[in-house]
Amino acid sequence: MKRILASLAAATTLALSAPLLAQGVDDFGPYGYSEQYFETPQDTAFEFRIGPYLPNVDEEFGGTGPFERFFGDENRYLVGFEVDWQALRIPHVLSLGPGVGWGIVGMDGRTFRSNGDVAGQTTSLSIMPMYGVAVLRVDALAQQTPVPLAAHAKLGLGYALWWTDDGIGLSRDAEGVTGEGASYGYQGALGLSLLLDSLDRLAARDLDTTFGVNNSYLFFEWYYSDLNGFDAGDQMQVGTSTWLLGLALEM
Amino acid sequence: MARSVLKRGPVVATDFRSTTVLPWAFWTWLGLSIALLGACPGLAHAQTVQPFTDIAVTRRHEAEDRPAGKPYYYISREDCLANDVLTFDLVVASPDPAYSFQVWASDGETCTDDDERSTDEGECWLVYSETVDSTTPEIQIPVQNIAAAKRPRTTSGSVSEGDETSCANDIDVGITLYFMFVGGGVVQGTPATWQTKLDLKGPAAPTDVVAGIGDQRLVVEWDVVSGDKTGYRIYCEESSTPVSEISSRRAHGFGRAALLVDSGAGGSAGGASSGGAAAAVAGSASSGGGSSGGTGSAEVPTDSDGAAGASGGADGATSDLECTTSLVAGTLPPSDAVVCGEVDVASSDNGTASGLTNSVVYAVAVSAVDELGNPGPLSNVDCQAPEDLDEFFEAYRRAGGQGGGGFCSVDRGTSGSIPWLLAASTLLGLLWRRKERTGGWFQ
Repeated sequence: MKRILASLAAATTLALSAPLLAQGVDDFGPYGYSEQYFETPQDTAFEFRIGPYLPNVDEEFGGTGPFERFFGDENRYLVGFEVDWQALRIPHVLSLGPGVGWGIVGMDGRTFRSNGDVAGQTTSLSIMPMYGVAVLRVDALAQQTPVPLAAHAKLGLGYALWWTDDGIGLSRDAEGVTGEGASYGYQGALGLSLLLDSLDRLAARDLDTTFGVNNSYLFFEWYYSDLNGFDAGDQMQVGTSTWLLGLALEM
Repeated sequence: MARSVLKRGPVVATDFRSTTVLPWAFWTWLGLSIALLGACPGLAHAQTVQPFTDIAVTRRHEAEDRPAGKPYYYISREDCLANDVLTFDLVVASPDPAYSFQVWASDGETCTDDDERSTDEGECWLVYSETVDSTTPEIQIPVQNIAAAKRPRTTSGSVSEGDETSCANDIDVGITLYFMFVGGGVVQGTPATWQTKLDLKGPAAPTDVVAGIGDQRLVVEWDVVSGDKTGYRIYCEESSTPVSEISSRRAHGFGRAALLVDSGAGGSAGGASSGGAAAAVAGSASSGGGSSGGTGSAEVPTDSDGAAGASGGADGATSDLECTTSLVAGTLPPSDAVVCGEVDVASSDNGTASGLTNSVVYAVAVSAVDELGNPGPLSNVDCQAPEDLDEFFEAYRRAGGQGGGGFCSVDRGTSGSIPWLLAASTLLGLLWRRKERTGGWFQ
């Protein structure tokens, strides 16, 4: 019995040590690494994001107003990025810190003749949303269980520059007021992320050791901004409620 | 005629007189020549032109859009109509007034071949012929002589002089000029060559040109056709047709829409597309043919072929819009035609005609332009009148919107964001202080 137990113990030891002995780097990269490895420091997250963006300009006109008439209701697409500082971080559980984001979206619209017919000239509206938010990321599930999902929430302030073009240049109304302005207000988001590391852990480790990318996520986010000057009534509501898709890298 | 040299050009090398070959070739030739002359005094009359050691080519006509580099010396239709003069400063080894100094042009054949110069089947034409007794002659060649291109070909030794009609030739070919001494119909010595391009032909016209209404402008769209174009010119001509007549016929901002609406109705301008010159322009003029029920409102000028233009017809029928104009589809833009818009992208299918007056009817046509600035024939002509338009920002303000006035125009009395900014700043400050005290972030 003792011999059997000794043999089992030896086999177990050998089996456990085999992966360690097999570690190395060949022409195809590192192989045979155990689950435990040195992670590079992590205190930043970078997001690249894209998604439909239709500003709620007509909100102040009861839902039907000049925006829909001139630009219709088809989606336009925002492209942007965000950088977060993970000031507070409990490894493999959560992180909390401030983040700033920037995006751009443009849209072409119609002009109308005095009789209401559509004219050949176009008009356009461009919006450059920016924001500063507190970002909470919870990655305990993704890091400590086989479920590769993480969640995040953002809340803060949004600020957007916007300008309109009447097909000739910067728009002006009958009184000469230029069609450019800034709007600010609340900003928030809720999102769910798929941890891409789970698809290829070796590649993920390579990314970390080579570029310092600790985790990469594909995320889906509900994005909300209420940019009307906190209901001041003197700013164009260029905020929106939409969803965004993006890639996030924690570094 | 006073000569105004505006630009000196680079040496243009040919395959057998390349500048890269010239140093050793020149000295070899010089040595052999001296040896031969010493041994055979009878050969002393063999003349040699050396244009590529010291040549400077200048041109009198400075076109605005002439491309840089070698194409700078290409000859466009505008150059031809201006009768540009190319001036060559040559170096001749030992000129002999007994020989004629001639410059022959060819678009492919070798002009040193006597048959190409002296027979009816020859492909070269004489563009310059003088007696030269200077070692540094200045040769001036009017480009119309080159553009005359075999019309008529000369075999009599007289220069084939061109004129403005030569510029109407539909030509786009490479041209080689041969500089040589000729005695007794035989080339004496070694000729020199210079290459250029004679391009009097503009690109094919875009099709289906439609003018849409803009504010003090028209938005013009067209279908792109293949060709060597580099851009487009939009021509506008104020029409005497009243705007009420245009608007009564047009239900939409774009003529294309109108064409679709009216496509089966009535006639349109007849022979405009078949070489005719129509003063009454129809949006669907390119469809030609139609004659029944056209509005027939306009004059009917004729082009050089005398073909009739718009046919006109019975009144009262629904027709595509028309206006009176001298712009004629399929013909070159008149020299006094007003360019009201330009597009320098070959693949573009739209442009803007600007500088227009609202409520005035304009006839609009588009011509493609090639590298040398040659405009091609005009497209079909569309008619439209700019007008004051309603656009988004005006409508927004009219509806009561208060936004706008500049990026810094936010009401400073709006203070709802201040608590948020203070809170965010405080949080960041606390975090930073903690980092400084602990020597790192929370990990």
